[in-house]
Amino acid sequence: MLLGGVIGVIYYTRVVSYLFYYPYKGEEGVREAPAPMLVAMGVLAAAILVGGFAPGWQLNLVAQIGDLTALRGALASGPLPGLVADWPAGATIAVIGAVAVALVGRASAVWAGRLAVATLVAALVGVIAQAGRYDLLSLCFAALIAAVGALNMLHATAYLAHSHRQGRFFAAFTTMIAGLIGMTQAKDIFSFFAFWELMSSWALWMAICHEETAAARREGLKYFIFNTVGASFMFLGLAWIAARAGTFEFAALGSALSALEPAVVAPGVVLVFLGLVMKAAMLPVRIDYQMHPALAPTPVSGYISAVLLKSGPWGVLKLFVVFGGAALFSKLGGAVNGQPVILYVISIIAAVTILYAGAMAVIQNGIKLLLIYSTVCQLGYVLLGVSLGTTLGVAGGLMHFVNHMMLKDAMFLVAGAVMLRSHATTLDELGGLGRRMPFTFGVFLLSGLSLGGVPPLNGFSSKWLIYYSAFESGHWALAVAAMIGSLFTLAAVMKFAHAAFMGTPTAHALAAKEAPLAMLIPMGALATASVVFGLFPGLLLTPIAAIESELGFAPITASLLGPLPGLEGWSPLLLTALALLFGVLLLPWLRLGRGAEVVRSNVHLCGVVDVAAEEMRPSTARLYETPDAVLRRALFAPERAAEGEEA
Amino acid sequence: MTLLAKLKDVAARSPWLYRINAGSCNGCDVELATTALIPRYDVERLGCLYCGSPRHADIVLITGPLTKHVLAAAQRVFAEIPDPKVTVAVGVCPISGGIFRESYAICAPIDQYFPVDVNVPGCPPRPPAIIEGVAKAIAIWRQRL
Amino acid sequence: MTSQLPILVAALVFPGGVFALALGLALKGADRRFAARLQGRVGPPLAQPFFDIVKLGFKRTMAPDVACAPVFFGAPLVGAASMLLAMTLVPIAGVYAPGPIGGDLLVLIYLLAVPGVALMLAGSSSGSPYGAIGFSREMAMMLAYEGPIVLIVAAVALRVGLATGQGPTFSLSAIVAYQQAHGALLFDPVMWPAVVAFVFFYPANLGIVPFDIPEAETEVLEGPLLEYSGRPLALFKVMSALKAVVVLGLGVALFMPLPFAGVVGLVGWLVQLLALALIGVTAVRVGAGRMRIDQAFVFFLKWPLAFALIGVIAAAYFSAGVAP
Repeated sequence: MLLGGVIGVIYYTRVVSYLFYYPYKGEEGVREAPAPMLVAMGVLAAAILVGGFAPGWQLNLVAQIGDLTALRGALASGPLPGLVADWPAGATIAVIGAVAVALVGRASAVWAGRLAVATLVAALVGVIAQAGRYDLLSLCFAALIAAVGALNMLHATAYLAHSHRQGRFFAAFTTMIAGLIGMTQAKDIFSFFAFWELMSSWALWMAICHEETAAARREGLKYFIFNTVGASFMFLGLAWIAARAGTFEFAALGSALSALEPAVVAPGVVLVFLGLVMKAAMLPVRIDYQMHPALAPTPVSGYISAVLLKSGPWGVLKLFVVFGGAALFSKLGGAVNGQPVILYVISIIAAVTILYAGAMAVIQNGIKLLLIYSTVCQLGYVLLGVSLGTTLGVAGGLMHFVNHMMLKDAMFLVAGAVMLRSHATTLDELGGLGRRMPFTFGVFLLSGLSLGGVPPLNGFSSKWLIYYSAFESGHWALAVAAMIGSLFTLAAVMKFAHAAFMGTPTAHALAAKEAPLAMLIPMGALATASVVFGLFPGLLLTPIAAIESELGFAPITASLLGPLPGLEGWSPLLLTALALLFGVLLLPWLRLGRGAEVVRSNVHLCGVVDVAAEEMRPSTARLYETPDAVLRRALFAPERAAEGEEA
Repeated sequence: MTLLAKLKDVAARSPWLYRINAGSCNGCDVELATTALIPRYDVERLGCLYCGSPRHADIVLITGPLTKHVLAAAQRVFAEIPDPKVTVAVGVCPISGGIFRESYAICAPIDQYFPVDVNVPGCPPRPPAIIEGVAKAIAIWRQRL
Repeated sequence: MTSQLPILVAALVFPGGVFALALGLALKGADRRFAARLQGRVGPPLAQPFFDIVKLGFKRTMAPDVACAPVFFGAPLVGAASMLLAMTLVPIAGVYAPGPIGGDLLVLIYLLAVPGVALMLAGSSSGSPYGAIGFSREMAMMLAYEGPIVLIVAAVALRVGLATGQGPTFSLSAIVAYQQAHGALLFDPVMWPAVVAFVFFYPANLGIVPFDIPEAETEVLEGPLLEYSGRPLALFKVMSALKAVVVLGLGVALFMPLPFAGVVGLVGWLVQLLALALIGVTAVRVGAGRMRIDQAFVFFLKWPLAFALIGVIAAAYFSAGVAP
């Protein structure tokens, strides 16, 4: 039945795709349908909506019949889920706003964009106002979902300024966010799964296919199929567990599952976690199918990378605790060094993904593909930290969860700004943008170096915590893999920075201007947040300590101004202060007196004047020639694509 | 002596050399590279080093009669060298054109195009002569610091 | 007895700041003098690097017109500041122990990557094609030697931590203290593969022949530093001098700290650094020719990585038999 459902949804998605996402190639003069047909369709549509939002009376009818049948056949009557998804204020605001945005979008794209941003800000307020509904982990995640969503939406208003049918995109994006918010506060399996589907199926697909090119549709459909398959695994697992445990409520699941035999529970748990790990785009299934497509509009690509894919690790942590924590999982196959086997397998998968995706990021030449592979690599870090299950591990994973969200989102927004201004898709077409877009470049350099693990920035702090916790729990091989992966990330970031912003400028670059204000604000906000969290990790660690104690782990010791936790914890604030001190001491010597007069001249080319700038740039594909060749052979990746293709 | 003068004396003990071949037959360049400034005669005891980049240079050694073909390039590279700098013309070709003096293709004497401070005549000059020229250049450079 | 100096004194005077600067430049001078003597020459005076820095202070600063000024001038600043910072993390056996609040071995390893990043930013931001080639080669070298050093550090941490009964320890003070009590890791057969890997690692990290490929004077006209002159160039020279002190000091702390304290300890440490510099840096530099980048990269993926991998596995299993 599940298989049939999956095939059905794929088939119907293709129909919708043909209807709305293909250019019209028919006769002129097609008008809206006549009134009687509209009335009939409208009544049915209303019935569908009522049945979806308030299935109570339908369910009652069916339940009575089901009970009678069970009684006659002497079968046990199983539990039925309350098929009403629990809509929190944040998600409701977002969905109503999405509908409004779609309607407004038919008239004005600009106002649709503004309404969408306002809706998301209102959703954030809604989340915070209803803070009691969420547990702390989900509350923080929901607040970040809404806040980062608002920033990306603001960026999107500028990115899609010259696109088409923006209203449809903004509505789909907002609906996706509504699904995410709803998912975070779910208290029972049905709500959880319903919102999971809302955020990862049709709304996501609509946002990705927005550009309506053949490649975008193809990639969108591939990702849609992948998401549906992953969600199906999860559905099977959740249904299995609910049936065995006899309840759909999260609060009751833990005790219900611990009373059952491990062999009865294990398949369901494995399926659920398989679905979650697939969401986080981990190996071993073909990774290019697991990554979200690079052809989506950049703001939504960034949002998927930064926030949506994080639902995987979030789900792992939350469901780990809901299903019964280490006590239950240790029964399901034993433990290694105190870590349940299921989580151990997840850690190994995460470590392998770190290395693989990191190495793939180094050899990419497409603007967004590089960032997407890097995202998968960083998700490996988060999953590694979370699946270690120790105090420091979970803290490191959660800290990197937030840090990566801000850093990677900032980098995607920068990529969006660059693509908007230069109309390029591969790194080869860019160059020398740093002088034209200084603020954008600054944000990228800060975020990129931080993500690449340069102390004492915030990306390094959370990675340090993950390395330290991995060593501490005895998994030195995983820690070493994580440490090496950090350098791959740095290599990919430097490649992007050089190809896009520095080096000899190309013709594209000389025509570029700084990004518009609607893009500068979100980029600046994210970069500032990264700097603040880097200097004061306590701002992140104090809530994380509270989350840990709420989830049942021993909390880390953290204070607002204090150092990182652990026996050998250090203080990024101190290191930054020292570094700034040295900088302040050296700067006068560098720039005063004889150092003040800077003579500008041409680049030294041994006196040669007749070679064009384009001919002197090493192309991006050849930038890391030796490591590139070695890595491609090691990863069984294809040879360099021809110039101009998005590799 | 003032502190500044003392610092300048210290600075003058580290002159870095840069060679520009302005159409030379390579005789003087061979002398520069393999005889005059390598172990047997060792200018490094004066603090001299060959630099790969004109931006690092203090003393410029120009060889060759400055062919028309290389004139623009040599001037461009010369301008890339930061002040204060000293120019040494090595060999007789930069001074008068040497054995190429009747050629249509040369622009010697080069002091029409470059501010030559020290001439080291010879074809090629002997290594001790080159070192004497470099030492004189260092003294001039000290005045310009 | 080790002492924990107030952090500002440690950063600015000893062992960081002024002391590190003087020591770095003096080591460089000794290296040049010794290299000259090995080649049968007289060589420059020992204080030559100091003269070089002073001279660069008197030169005019030039920059390419296509260069990104903040990055172009910021790169040497960041590089030099990072190495000054790293000096506060390197212990001197019996004299100085870095407090944990400043960071540990893991932080130090990643701080050592910052000068490489600074060089890359320098080469890239100058807008010169030679700079871009230097950029690419520097990244290739970093990718090559990062694997071995991570494994070496893991090996030492596992050895010392497991032998003392706790988990792997990354506190350099603890590693030094352990060796002062139980004998240097240099004489520990289990650690010999790691020592061999370190011997390959530090010439690549310090950029000395045969691995000085990114800054090759003859091949790429000095690569990333091509467009630098005057004071920014001086800062890069300072950065490389400081980096030599940090890396050699790290090697001493990881494998052969002396069991003395006080002045004797300090003098011993200086002698160790000098010996390492002259034998390990100068003699190698004078005797070898430069490798090509592809040869160097592939080489590092074979022998040093293999030795480091054997080292860490040996440390893990022979110390207490831990599962990875």
